[in-house]
Amino acid sequence: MRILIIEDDHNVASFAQRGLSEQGHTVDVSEDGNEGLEMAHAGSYDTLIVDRMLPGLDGIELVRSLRSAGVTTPILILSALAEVDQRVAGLEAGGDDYLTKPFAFSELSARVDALHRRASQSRPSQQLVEGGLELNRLARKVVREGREIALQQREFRLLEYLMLHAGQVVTRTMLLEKVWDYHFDPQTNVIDVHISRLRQKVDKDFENPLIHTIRGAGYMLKEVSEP
Amino acid sequence: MVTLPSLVRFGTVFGIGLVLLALAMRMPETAIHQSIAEELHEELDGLLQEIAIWKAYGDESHWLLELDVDEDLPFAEFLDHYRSIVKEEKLEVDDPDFEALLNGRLILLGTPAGDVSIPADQLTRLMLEETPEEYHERLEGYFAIHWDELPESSELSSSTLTAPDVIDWMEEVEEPVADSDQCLQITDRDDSMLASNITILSAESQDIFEARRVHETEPEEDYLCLVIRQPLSSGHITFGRHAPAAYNASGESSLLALAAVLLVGMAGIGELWLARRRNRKRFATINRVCEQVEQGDYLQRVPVNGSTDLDRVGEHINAMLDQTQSLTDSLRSVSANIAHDLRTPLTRLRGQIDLLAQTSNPDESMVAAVQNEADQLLDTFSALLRIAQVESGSPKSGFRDFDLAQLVSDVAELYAPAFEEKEIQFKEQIELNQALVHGDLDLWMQSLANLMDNALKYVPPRQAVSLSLGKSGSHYVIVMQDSGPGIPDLELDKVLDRFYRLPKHRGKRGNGLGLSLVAAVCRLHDAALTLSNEQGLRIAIRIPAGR
Repeated sequence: MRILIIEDDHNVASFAQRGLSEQGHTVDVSEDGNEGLEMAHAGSYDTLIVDRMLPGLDGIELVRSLRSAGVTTPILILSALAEVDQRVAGLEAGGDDYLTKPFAFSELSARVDALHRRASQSRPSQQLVEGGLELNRLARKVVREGREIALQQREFRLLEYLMLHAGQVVTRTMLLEKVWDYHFDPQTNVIDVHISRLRQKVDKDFENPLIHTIRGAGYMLKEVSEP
Repeated sequence: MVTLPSLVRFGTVFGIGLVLLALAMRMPETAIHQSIAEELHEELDGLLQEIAIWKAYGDESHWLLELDVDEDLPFAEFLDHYRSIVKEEKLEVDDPDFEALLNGRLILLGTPAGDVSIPADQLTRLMLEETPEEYHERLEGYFAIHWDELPESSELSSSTLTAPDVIDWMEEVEEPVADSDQCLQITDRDDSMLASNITILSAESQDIFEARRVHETEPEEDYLCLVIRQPLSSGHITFGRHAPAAYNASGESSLLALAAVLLVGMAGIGELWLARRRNRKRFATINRVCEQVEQGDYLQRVPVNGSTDLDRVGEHINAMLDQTQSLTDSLRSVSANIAHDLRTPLTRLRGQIDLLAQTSNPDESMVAAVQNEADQLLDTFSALLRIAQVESGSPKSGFRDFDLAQLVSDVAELYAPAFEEKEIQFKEQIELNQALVHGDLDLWMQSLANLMDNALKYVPPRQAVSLSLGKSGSHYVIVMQDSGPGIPDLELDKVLDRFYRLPKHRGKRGNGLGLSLVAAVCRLHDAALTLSNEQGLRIAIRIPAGR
């Protein structure tokens, strides 16, 4: 993936660049708002990471400017403050995700992947499939290897999100945000219990587990065939 | 601002003004005489000056006298005249700087240059002293006069004149007196009359007195004169002119009346000015205090002595400063506490990193442990920041209408599995279909989550926790009740402090900030938070219902 980071904090920028490069992405960095805007127009990037506070051009203004110019590249906005109204403003300006600093690299990486996935699927299908697991979004039905699995509403949404991002790391924060609309880090691992409940229903009676715990990052739904 | 002292002052000046006005109404003739006497003195001085010049220079100075030293001369004319004399005498002066020099000298003498008249006394100085050196030399060649031997104009004092000098002058120079209205009498040292065209009438003891001018040829043309008498270095000169046609009393007295009015007016302005100055001093004091506070000296206060408007401003400023001081003090102590409480986890983290550094082959769990510790610290800082933001009141911008019932239900649903996992009986009791409130949805979500987190952490297994929502009057009430050990009564209000952990819980996971945030959020929303022990801990939140 080609990624452009527009961030004036040198530490954060190089930290993100290093990590994303190691994952195989091509990463460019600009430390100035105006320069970054030009680069965003000129290069064809798959994802943009834009800091909220930039010298030269305000981050939200930059996003607005890109959107009004017709650029549809997914944008992740970095912010130093987790103010709710700031997040809403960022998303309303056309940002696709909002991450507060400091962040764990795994969080950034997972969200960048998720953004890319969402963008590349112009319209995700009704039927999500991973391995023997099928989820029908309209009918709200889940079937694995022919057997129907009864899920409660929240469990369904949880599984749905994992399947939409099958093969990608999904962090606890992302789950809390997308599935529960909860925007802070919980003290206790409430999410883990929900995942284990889901596992009980989706994985327990089957040979290959689909829901995996990625240490230090989060979870991933993926069919891993035994070597 | 009207104060007693200012009234007294104004009254006094007003009284003086009235007196002056009265005096003006009754102007004695002597005042008129006084002004004429002054004029005569001036005239006489001029005349004597002229005589002194004549005495000093004799005939050679005819061109000086031609300038009619008695009159003020327009500068341009003076220059022309001077130039013409120079030309006549075949002096070659063609120096544009000379004009500039003269201009400059005039300015220094206090007279603006240009098309101005040169006062008579300065004219002489200009002629004699202000001529540049180079011209002295040239003029020397044409005159048998050595300029540096010439007396300074200040030496042309009429004080060296004697009565005979004046007589000599009168005889040599065209008599200036003949057809003018000048009155003149010269007496010698022993009072013998040397020349006269007047007869003294009244006593000579006053400064100005009356005399009668005797016309040389026509006795009918006698005039009443007002004259003054001045001593010479030897002898006296009596000098004057015809008395004015009518005594113009009203002119002089109206001047006095004007003076009286001006005085009273100025007194009024003076009072205002004094009051302004007083205020300006007060303002300056207030400014100074504020500046000192800006520099960091919070102990400064505005002096207040009285109950004027300014004093009230001063009191308000002092109250603000008191509040700032107490806020700063409490902030300082809070910061100290926070720093103190953060040392422990930071030290722990440091220890783990050191351990990691020493291990040649660190395994995943060690790295994970360091990451965990760091994450916890980050959480703590985020929580602290969150609380600070809430306390500063700025998040009110995120307020909107939302359904509290839905929120409580969502939070309950999020935590239910965790409670079940810990074998805690969790019950959700929402009695309402909808509970609209106005506030920050995310802050409330986090507050409720914090309460649930606490319950998960501190309620022992096989106990019960219930979360309920009801309505009471115009408030919605959220109650979280558990059957656990509760909080000792003494510690009930301490638990809301930042970082406070019950002694028995210290060392467990957590940073002691959960309830602090709940308290801050409640304060922000004007909600009441109550903790009590009712066979377990009972936490109640009363939130005003939205519109």
